[in-house]
Amino acid sequence: MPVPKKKSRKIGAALVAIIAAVLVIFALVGLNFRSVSLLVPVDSVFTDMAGYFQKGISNPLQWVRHVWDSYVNLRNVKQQNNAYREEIARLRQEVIRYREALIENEQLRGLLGIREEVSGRTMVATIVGMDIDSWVSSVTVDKGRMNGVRRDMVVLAPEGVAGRVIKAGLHFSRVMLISDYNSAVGAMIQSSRIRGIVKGNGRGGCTLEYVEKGQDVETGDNVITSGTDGIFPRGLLLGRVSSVKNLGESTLFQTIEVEPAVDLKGLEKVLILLTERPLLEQER
Amino acid sequence: MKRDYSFFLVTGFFLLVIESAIGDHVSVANIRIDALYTLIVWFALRVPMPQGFTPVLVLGVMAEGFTALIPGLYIGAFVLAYLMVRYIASHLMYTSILHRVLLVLFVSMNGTVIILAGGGHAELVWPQGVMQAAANALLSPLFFAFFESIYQFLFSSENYSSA
Repeated sequence: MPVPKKKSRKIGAALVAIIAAVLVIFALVGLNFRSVSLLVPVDSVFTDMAGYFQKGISNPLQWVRHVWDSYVNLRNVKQQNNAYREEIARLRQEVIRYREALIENEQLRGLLGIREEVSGRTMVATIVGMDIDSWVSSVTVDKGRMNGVRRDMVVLAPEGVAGRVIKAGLHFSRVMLISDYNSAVGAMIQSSRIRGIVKGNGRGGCTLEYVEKGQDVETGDNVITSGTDGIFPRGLLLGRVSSVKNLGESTLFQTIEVEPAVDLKGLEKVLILLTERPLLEQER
Repeated sequence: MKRDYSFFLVTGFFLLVIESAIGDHVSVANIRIDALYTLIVWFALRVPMPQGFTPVLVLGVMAEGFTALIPGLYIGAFVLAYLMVRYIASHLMYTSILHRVLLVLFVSMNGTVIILAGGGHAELVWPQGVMQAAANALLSPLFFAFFESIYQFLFSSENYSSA
């Protein structure tokens, strides 16, 4: 049966529209993948716009959380005070010992000519938003290119490494956390110096990969950056080994779970190392 | 039609901001409250091709600013969701609430697969991705009612005067 002229015209128009749609998507994706992307300014505008709105939402939310935390904290404050006094006394002694160790360490470093691994300026940034995809571990921080932040800068928390900058807008940047599935950091076990790669598992934790069977890895071992990835300086704490498994004879490597040193879900403030590709620059 | 576009884009941007700011606090086992696919289905049932294509594309580009995923995944997921709903809607005389819920489940599932597989998390499609799609579908009647009532509230006087 012949197709009516009007209907065939409609089908033709729909086909043209779909082909145009597909071409537009491919063009957009293609432009984005190029190193000098035409969409970078557009992307940057949206990153900044997102940051401003996220900041507007997250500030009152954090205030409510602080008020609630304060109330909960007050309930046990007396008992905690006594415990803290004892803790402070113990820590004071420890600080004195550490100061001594630091002085000794600096003297040794001077003797051996070892350079400081982490040098250069740092900047405190506040986290104002998360990723819209719940399986992606990334956050938005309130510092951007105007503050000197650039792609691949290292992001730290007081406890250790948090992640790295993957997108820098004018006033806001996006940080990929070490627990993200696409994150990989050159790492080593602090005590035994066994090297591997710490990868995010997408569920808030990490795994240390490519450690051969038979290598001595224990639960509780500190995992630090090895500096071999050209982004993270050597010697920063990534986390601690939480479990070690040897799965069957067919696999070459151990399955090592690492618990990040930083509470990545509860991050509020971070420190950005304002040095681009620190290790690569040091080696040049 | 213009108010459909503006409502869709403003609501979409608002949802992106809300979900990225507080989504993590209202999630269970990485399953979040996500109304974006419901919004796309709601919009696709109202605005045909080719007029509806551009706003969906713009929402996809906006979503790219809120994520660390590789570029193009949200654009692809949203545009594909819109095209699929348009294709299915062209074969329907009437869409009941059950049809709409199924459409949300269908496009959420497709979108989740695109985003998870494209982002390198293919092993999370089952069961987390499916659970996210099911959660989107289960909550969609609430969001359909919400979008409809807000839209009516904003534009009811215009409707009345234009009638």
